[in-house]
This record gives sequence, C-alpha cells and structure tokens, in this order.
Amino acid sequence: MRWAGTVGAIFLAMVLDATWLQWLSPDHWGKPWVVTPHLTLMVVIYRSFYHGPVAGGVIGLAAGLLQDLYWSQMLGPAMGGMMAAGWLAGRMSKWFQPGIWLMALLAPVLDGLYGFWLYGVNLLFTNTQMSAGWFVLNQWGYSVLANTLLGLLVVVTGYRLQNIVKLMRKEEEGK
Amino acid sequence: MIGVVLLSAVMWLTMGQREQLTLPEKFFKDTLTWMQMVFSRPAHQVAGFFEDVQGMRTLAEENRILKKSLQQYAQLAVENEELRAENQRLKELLSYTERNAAQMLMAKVVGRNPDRWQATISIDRGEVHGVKANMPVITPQGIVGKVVSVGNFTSTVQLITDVQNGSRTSVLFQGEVRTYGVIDGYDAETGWLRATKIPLEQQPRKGQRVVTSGLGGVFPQGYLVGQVERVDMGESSLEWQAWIKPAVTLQHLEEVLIVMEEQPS
Repeated sequence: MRWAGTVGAIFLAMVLDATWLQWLSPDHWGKPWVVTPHLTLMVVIYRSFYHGPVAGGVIGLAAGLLQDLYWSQMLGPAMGGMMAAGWLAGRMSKWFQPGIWLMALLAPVLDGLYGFWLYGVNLLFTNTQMSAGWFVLNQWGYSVLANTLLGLLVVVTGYRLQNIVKLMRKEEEGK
Repeated sequence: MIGVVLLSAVMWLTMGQREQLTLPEKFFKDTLTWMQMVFSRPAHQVAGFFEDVQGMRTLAEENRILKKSLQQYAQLAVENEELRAENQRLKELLSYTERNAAQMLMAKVVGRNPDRWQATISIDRGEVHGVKANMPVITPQGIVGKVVSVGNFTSTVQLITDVQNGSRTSVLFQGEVRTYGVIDGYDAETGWLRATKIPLEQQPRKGQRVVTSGLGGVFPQGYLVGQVERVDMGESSLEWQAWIKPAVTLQHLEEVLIVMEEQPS
C-alpha cells in the first residue's frame, strides 16, 4: 500500500510538472524569469522520509529514470540527481524528525543542488550557452523558491492523506 | 566515486537522438502522455482566461498603434497589389505551381519538459497516425521543431531552440542576395536563435526574414524561422553571426501541425 502510494504520487507529480505547473513559470506570461517545477523531486524527498536512505535512493533512481526516459535525450541527469536527493533525504530523516521543518530545510538545499547538478551535466555533455550568472539570477533562484513552496505543499497534503487513511482503517477495524 | 564514473558513462553512451523506442518505453510514454492530456485540457482553459484578462490591458495600446498603422495601409495596399502581380508572374515563370504541397496533421500539445535543458514537448499523435521521427513540426506562424521519438499514440517534439543536443538547421536569409546560415545556438537570456557560417561578404540586415533553406534533409524549404534582430562578428571574426527572434512564441504552443510528407499537387 505504501509503495503503491509512492508510485502513484510520482506518476501524478510527473504529469503535473509537465502540465499545470508549467503555467506557473513567469516566462509563460512574458517575463524574463523561468521557474522549473520539480514536484517529482519533492515527492521523492517526502517519500524518502518514510522509506529510509536505501529505499529513498531507489525511489529517486526510478523516478529520475522515468523522467529521463520520457523527456531527456540521455539517461542519467535526473536519475543521478534524484537518486542522491532521495538517499540524502532518507539519511537526514534518521537524524531529524521528519516533517514540515525538515522539508523546509531540505527542499531548498536539495532542489538547489539538483539545479546546479543539471546545469553542470548540461555544461559538460551538451553545448548549453546559458551563462552561470543568468542561470542563477533568472532561473535557479526562482525555481528553488517555488519548489520549496511545492515541497511544503507536498508535506501538508501527505499528512492530510495519511490521516484520512488512518481514520478509514480505524473505522474498518471498529466494524 | 565508482557511481559517478558509471553515471557519467551511462550519460555519455545514451546521449543523442533515439528514433526507435522499445515496447515498454512506448507503453510508458503513451500512458504518461494520456494522463497529461487529461490534465492539460483544463489547464489550457484556465490559462486562456488569464491570458484574455492580460490581453485586455494591451488592447488600448494596440488600438492606438492600429490607428496609426491604418494610415499607412492605403499605401501598403497599392504596394501589395504590385507585389502580388509580380509574384504571380514569377510563379508562372518558374512553374511554381508544380511545387510540392505538404500534407499536414494537426496535433495538440499536452506537456512540456519541466526542465528547460532539453526543449521538448509532447503531442497527442503517434505511430498509428502515421507520425515518424524527424518529421517537421510547424504552426501557421513558422517552424516549431521536429519529431524526435514516436510512441504508438504520442510523440516527442524537439523545439528549434534546442540546439545544444547536436541539432542544426540550415536557414536562408531572404533578400536580394540569397544568404545561407546554420542555426547552432540559442540565447536563453534574449530568447534569440544564433545563426553562424554566414560569409563576410553577405552581411544580413536587421529585420530580414529568415526561412528554412531545405538543405539538411529535415525541414522543407520556405518555412519561416524568424526575423534578424542583431548581427555581429562572433568570436572567429571570419564570418557573421546573426541573432534571430523566432517567429513562433514557443512558450504558448497549444496546437501544432506535423508535416507528414511533401505531396505533388
């Protein structure tokens, strides 16, 4: 059940990343700033809190692989980044109480690192002509901010869903 | 350390366009794109409403500009008629009526790559609709990109701005002198495409229209790419490089046309 929920959440996040969340990016509205939504990464981080570092790494690897298979012309960028993020989130949840505060700390750090990782990979393997300064000022900063908010939203939604499931189970046991 | 080396090897080995997808890949792509279709429909409607509101703000300004343009219209109409007649004569002269007419297939854009490193979109047409890899994708405003991978019911389109993955487009600068160039760069800061390999004796001018040249085998000749915004010498100083503003607003794609094949009319 827990794994089914994780798989479902990752699929949903991938779909939302490519559809609804695209409209939140200011460049859709004629502004020069870009927000790259990473809801899938936030779901990976959140689920890694409960599955631990090893399973977190596997969840990140699978989610990143699917993302690369669907969108990228090479396998690895999202796969490597999400795997590391999942493992780190799982490891941190062993040291700190998993919850909204841990997400508030980890979401900007891991999303920021993930953003730099993707920039570095593209700088190395493709011929990207985006300057580091423009990337940081016009894309990375706004994306980290937006994705932190998405991360907090994931935690709140996750807790509410977990409570609903718990209540339903109790009711079933009561019957 | 071993992990990093392995990952780098995987990235290096899998880099580049893969036209043939495996069966599980096709199934996964079709499933996810179908889900995107369900989600993108209401998103387009809501976004359309906000775009309408935003559009109202610019109406007053547009109205003022249009009134001014109207004054120039009469003169333009005369010139247009002259050009039309000249065009007709040239067409007859060069037997342009025998030129190929393309068969198009309309597709809806259902998703966009959340990370902008690969500028790709997903569309709701695939192998069963006759779509094949490397087919050009356009809108009435101009060129959008090409199909890079095809699922059973869906496809992925690489936008013309995605030049960092080895994709090159040969273009022609319209004017008295036929100048050719190659689009091999994109500036995310300005949103302009960079065309290089332009000979020093054929300097393009600002405002010049740029169309596909038909060379290179992917894009047929004559599809509008954009307009020259800036011309400079580049790093080598041995050739001109032109910065082109794309004719199509690639952030707002909703429907596109796939050029299926060139059919004789």
